[in-house]
Amino acid sequence: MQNAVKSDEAERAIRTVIYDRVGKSVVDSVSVTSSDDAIGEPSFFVTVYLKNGRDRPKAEKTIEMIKAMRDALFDLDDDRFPHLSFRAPEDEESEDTRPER
Amino acid sequence: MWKFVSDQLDNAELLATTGSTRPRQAALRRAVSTAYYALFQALCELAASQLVGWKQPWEAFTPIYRSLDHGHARTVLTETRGKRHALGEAVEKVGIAFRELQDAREWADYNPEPHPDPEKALADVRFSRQDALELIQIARQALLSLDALDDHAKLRLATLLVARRRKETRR
Repeated sequence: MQNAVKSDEAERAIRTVIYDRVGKSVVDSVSVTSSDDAIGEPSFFVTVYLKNGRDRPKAEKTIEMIKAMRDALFDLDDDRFPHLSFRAPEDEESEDTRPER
Repeated sequence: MWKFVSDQLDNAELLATTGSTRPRQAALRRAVSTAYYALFQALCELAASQLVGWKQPWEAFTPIYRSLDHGHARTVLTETRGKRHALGEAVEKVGIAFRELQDAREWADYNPEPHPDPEKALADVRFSRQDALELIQIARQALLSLDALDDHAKLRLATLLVARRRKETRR
């Protein structure tokens, strides 16, 4: 498969899946970036910024969404895996563990 | 579901929910790693229980349990024929969960950056309690999907997880 040839089209396809499945009214924004994942394989990182954490989908729906994104990417001959995560204003970020420089 | 793996997920949840203020990154990382290993160990158990059986002596059970390899499991679970997995939709979904969790675990155990998403790490966005809980729920869902497979699918999956293709064994 030819990766990164049609990145704009791939990003559009990903956004379409997200808005269709999560619902436009609960989504604040969607970020789609492309880079190697921790294993070293070319991937998409999709972050859905929700207006409210109570609209975070259940795991079953999240897996369904990744499957739908993969299908849409497959149709574009793009085999990058779409890693999906959600963010909401009330999310609790972990502490910063870096020592002071 | 094997009690050991559901207990592992309970442990992961405990780690992810500990502390009332800002969560410790070490706790969240351990939670993610534990969730991944719960799924991996469930696959090990599936292979050994299908191909050997719990009633057999350890010297028959353990080598099959220990024969699973992380990279090979990823290939078996995520390789598709066209869009679909040869063993059906349930295994395909387990593969999606496995891939998400394996990548997150690789970050959790080896990468000092604050988030598995490189762009977020660059922007100093840190991994959150909710990120960890999401991954634990994904692992739980994958275990339910594994449990729901019929006996024939379990046996086929077990065989694929243990057997190596000739091309792989020649490496």
